[in-house]
Amino acid sequence: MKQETLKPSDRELFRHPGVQNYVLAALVSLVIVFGTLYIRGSIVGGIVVVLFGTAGLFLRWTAAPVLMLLLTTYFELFPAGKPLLGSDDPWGPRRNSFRIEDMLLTMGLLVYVASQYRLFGILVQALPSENEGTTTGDANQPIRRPTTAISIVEFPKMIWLAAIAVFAAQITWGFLVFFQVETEGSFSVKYVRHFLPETAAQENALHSAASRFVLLSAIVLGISVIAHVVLWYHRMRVLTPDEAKMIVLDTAWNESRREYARVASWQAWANARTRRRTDTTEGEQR
Amino acid sequence: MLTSRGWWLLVVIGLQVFLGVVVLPTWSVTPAVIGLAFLAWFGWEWAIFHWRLTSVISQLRVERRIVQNEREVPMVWAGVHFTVRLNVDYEAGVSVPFVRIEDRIPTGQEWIGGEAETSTFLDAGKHITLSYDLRCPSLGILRFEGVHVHIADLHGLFYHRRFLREGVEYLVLPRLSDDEGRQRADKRFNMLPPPGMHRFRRPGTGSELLDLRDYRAGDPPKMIAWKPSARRDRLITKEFESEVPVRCVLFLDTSPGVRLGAPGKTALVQLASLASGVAQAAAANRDLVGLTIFDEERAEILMPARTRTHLIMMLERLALAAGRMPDLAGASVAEIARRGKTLARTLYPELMAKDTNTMPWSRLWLPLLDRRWGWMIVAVLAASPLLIIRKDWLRETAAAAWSMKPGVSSGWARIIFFFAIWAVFAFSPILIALVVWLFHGISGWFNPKRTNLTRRKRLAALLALRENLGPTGIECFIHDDAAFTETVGRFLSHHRTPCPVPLYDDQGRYRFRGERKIKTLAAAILRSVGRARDNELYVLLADLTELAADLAPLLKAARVARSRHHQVLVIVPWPSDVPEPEDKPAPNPEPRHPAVPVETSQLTPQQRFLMHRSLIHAAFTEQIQHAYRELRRELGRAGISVVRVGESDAVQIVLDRLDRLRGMRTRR
Repeated sequence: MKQETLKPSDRELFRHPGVQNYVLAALVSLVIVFGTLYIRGSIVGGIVVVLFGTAGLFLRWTAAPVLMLLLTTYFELFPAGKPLLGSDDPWGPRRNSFRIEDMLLTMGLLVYVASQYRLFGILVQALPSENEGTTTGDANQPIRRPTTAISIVEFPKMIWLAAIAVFAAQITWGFLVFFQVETEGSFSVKYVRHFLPETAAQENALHSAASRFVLLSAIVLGISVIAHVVLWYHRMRVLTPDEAKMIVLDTAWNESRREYARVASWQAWANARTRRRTDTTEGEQR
Repeated sequence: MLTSRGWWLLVVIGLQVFLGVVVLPTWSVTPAVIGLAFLAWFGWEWAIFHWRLTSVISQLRVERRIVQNEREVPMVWAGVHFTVRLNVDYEAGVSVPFVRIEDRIPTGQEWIGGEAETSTFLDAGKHITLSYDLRCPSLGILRFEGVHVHIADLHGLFYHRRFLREGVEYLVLPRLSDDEGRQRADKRFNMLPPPGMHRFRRPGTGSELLDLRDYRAGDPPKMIAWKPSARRDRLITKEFESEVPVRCVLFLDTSPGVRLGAPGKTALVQLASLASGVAQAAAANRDLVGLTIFDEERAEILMPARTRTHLIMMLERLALAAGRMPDLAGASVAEIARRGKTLARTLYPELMAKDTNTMPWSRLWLPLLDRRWGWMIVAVLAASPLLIIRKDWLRETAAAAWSMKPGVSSGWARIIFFFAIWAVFAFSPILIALVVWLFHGISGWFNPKRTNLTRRKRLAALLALRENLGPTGIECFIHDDAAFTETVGRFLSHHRTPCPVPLYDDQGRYRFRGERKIKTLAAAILRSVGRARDNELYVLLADLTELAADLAPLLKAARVARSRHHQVLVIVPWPSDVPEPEDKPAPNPEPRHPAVPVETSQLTPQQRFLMHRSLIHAAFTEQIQHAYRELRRELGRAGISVVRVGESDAVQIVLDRLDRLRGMRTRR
């Protein structure tokens, strides 16, 4: 519970430098997104995305980041706004990799989404609503992150992280495009020296799209497994005694639960029968 | 760990990555780059959150102190506000950008002010202090369970809740009253009584002059008052007061019947508060006060004494007694399981989590032999081979299989098809039995009871862990409702969580009469009488209202006490919503509820409910008042007075009795 302190108004919140950083970052990101869409010939898309993004920023639409992602992708594919895919370019995947405007667009979108989510945490809600586990009298009020909890380094870290993510994505895309899964002998991954169009049949190799899918799955799976193992080991090292006991107990139960269940069900039946007989005897005595 | 926001974003990212990498690259590679960048960013945020989470939990330390009257205290006083100071220290090197720490406040306390929660970031060496004020309205036990810790990332994509358990209990001692403890400003007699001595208006060997009378033959010469004798010209003898210490023994009922009700408002709290008032008032007069706490099984005795240490010990015993939780035997399994599960998920979230406390799919499989008709399936399975080996069966099934000609030209395919169909027909009883077994088993995965079974298993595992029962305890609690209910009841009582219990059994009898406590009480009284001196007052603070027909042992003990010139007084608790028995209702009382039509079929459900409730309340009132009158009549025959809690001032009545024992006229 808290004393009845006045919650900071939106004006006070927007005056905080930490909040202003995020607002500014989101607006600059929208400008970058507009610029890249404009270069691609999608003026309508740029305007729609900027308007939607700005409205979502100031009206605090919680679905705005996800919809921005989808809208940008839509106008990237359909610059005129109509859902009509033009003619495809079989050479496109390789030729159009490592474009600066792609990286700028991705960076802008990523910074916008991250800034928007962080603003939500400060202005709207930082923790999900739960019915259990809260003992405060104002359990229906959403819990927000206070401005005092905004540290100086989190904004630059966000920008750096976005840049590294874009760089990693570009490297990964390059790997997916320039390497191929070959089926000759055992499955192997080889550098594609002589690139064929997307639609051409591949000899002793998977189709380009299938190859990219397999490679991406392998990368995601591999990283997930490694991360899972590392985090699992870390978690095992910091287990509390109670958690460790529960894991041991649960494992022991799982090993022989069929036998335990059989014995327990018979025992419960016997106890219930004894109780029924005792109650009947006491009732008769009364 | 993922919030709904995180799940939505992950789904959209997944879709973006799939479309961008597999479907769309020939039109545009930008969706692929966007999707991969978001995937990398999301994956990093997930990994770093997980790392921080596992680092934080093991490195947070909590220390709690209670401060009252600017001193750290091990127990608090009812009605006096106190400050709770919570220090949280973080020792790990991993920083956490957002964490919310919230103290779990015990229920039933009055909030005064302060901060019981804070949201901040955590750095190595960070120290957080929470301070807030509470007040306990009644005596008992105050239990702090620990601190909620909510950890989330900055984007609201990941969230984890943990509870730092740090269970600590504080006694809440009864309010220090000045009722009759205040010293009189005027002296009734020539001098204030020395400690422990009271005036008893009978001649004795005290030091306070009582009276002057004429000399009688045999009076000792030292008792002659020479100056009055000279004035009156005849011999006058001095008479001094008798010094008789007065003892009071309180008998407090802690049977299950007096523990019913909302926490802090039970009959036991009423009686214990009254007992503390009597004890403090008597102790202020330096009277000896003893305490016997009894229930249906045993009695704990604290011999009469009058030191301050003894008084504090009495107050502690009263607080412990008042803090006893109701007996939850007989509560419905569903209700108690629901409350137990909620409490377990609040206080032990990591032990109730899916990865620690698992429920494998195979456990939800329904065993066939748990049903009686399942044995028929087993019989079919066992008997099938006898059918299958018969020649006519094989011949018939072969003919049927041969008649099903497949539309294939290959001879080998025809042969294989024939044998496959023949096997299906020949072994059809076994196959049908296996299909029934399979469908019955997997129906447990889709059964609406699956959720309840999973929750019960998780709660059972936690209880088995707490009770050190091992893996057998888990299945025992799943199958045995009585053992489960009893253990969950203990779990709830340990954490001071109330749970409603049925007051009447399935035959309409009141479950909390507690007739066995009469024998315990009678034995305790006889024990006290055996050790008593002169002129003791026995105050029985007990719920005897429903026991007028079972008082024989108590009456016997009371008669023994009275034969030794002791006095017995009974104080019974009284429900606050029941009018006093002496009050006679007005001839035409005002209806409590709006006038309702006579025809019940014309009543709305709300009106019908109100009418039923008022009828039940009227019947209950009549029953209680009648039972009280019966009790008073039965005890009155043995010379025992009966007083209700709340009737005038029960403490004053007790003190009046003490004065009467001293031979004083009432001071009120």
